Amino acid sequence: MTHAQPEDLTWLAQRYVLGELDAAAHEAFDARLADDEEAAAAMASAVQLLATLTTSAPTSGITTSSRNDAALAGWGLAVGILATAAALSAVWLIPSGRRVLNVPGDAADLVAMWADTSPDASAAMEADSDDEPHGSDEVPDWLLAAVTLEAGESTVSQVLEN
Amino acid sequence: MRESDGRQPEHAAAGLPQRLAPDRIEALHERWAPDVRAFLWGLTRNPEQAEELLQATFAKLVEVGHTVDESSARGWLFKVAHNEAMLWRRKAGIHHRAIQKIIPILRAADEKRPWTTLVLAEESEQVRKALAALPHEQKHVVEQRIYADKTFAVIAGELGVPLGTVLTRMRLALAKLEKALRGAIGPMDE
Repeated sequence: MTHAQPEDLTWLAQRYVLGELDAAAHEAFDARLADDEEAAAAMASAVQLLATLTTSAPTSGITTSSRNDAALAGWGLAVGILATAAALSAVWLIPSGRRVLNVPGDAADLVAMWADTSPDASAAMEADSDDEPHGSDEVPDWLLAAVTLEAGESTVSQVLEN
Repeated sequence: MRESDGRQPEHAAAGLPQRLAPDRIEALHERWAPDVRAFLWGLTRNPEQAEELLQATFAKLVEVGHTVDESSARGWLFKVAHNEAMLWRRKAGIHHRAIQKIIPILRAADEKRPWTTLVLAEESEQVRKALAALPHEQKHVVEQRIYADKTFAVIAGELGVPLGTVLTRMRLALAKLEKALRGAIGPMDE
């Protein structure tokens, strides 16, 4: 099966995100997302573009429907999630001007996983008992920062909402 | 990932299964998390769920990231994210049109975040300028589709033009907007 050219793929992904593909096309694109990296990247790009457009909705000259209000809220929340990450995490503007969002996410779980993740148990059992622990005893700084930020999230939210 | 890609040397020396070094995981998270998050949002239409699945995806990276070729990191992350999303879909039984069911929830949640616009205010002017720069007929289609949430078929009917005309106008408009706003959105590839 010949996949669409890059430009067509971008448009296909945009229609997928907008929900403007018929059922068959939607399912076909959905299936492509499983192992077509370019399709997945196109879809992610479409989400980012449409979310950016939605948060800057013009305030005059357009009649919005209740469905649209909800749709705007949906997109707005999506961008809100991105903004939450930016507000609560460290945000760096790299020289190219791109804003990079460093999301702590469920940092406590990541820290725990880093500490607990270990090689295959059988291999560990066969290893010399004097071997050093497989995992690092030192938690990476970025995980510590994420946990600290997560702990302070509720405080920041309260300040911002007041 | 290969030895030169940040594996922990003490593991290599001990002949033990190797893991990605923390700085490599951090770098991959910083580079790809926004794109994977957007991908997951597109699949789930649920920003909060997308966040959970994003963490599950990077948790997998912590576990088995050392087996992934550096040049395939993005594809691997998308694939894992997709698998996580499909698992969630099967469990939740959510159809791709379920967005209508969650919109009231999203709306309520969004009303609790009045600072969202404030945080993104600096990008609003860029968007307004980009929209204003569009040809009138393209701008109209974008506004009607995205802000008035009318389907392309409805827009075509109201304008009295073929559906294909509306689709073309939207396609051209989005291409121009993406190019104009690339700095605000962030490039997928550097």
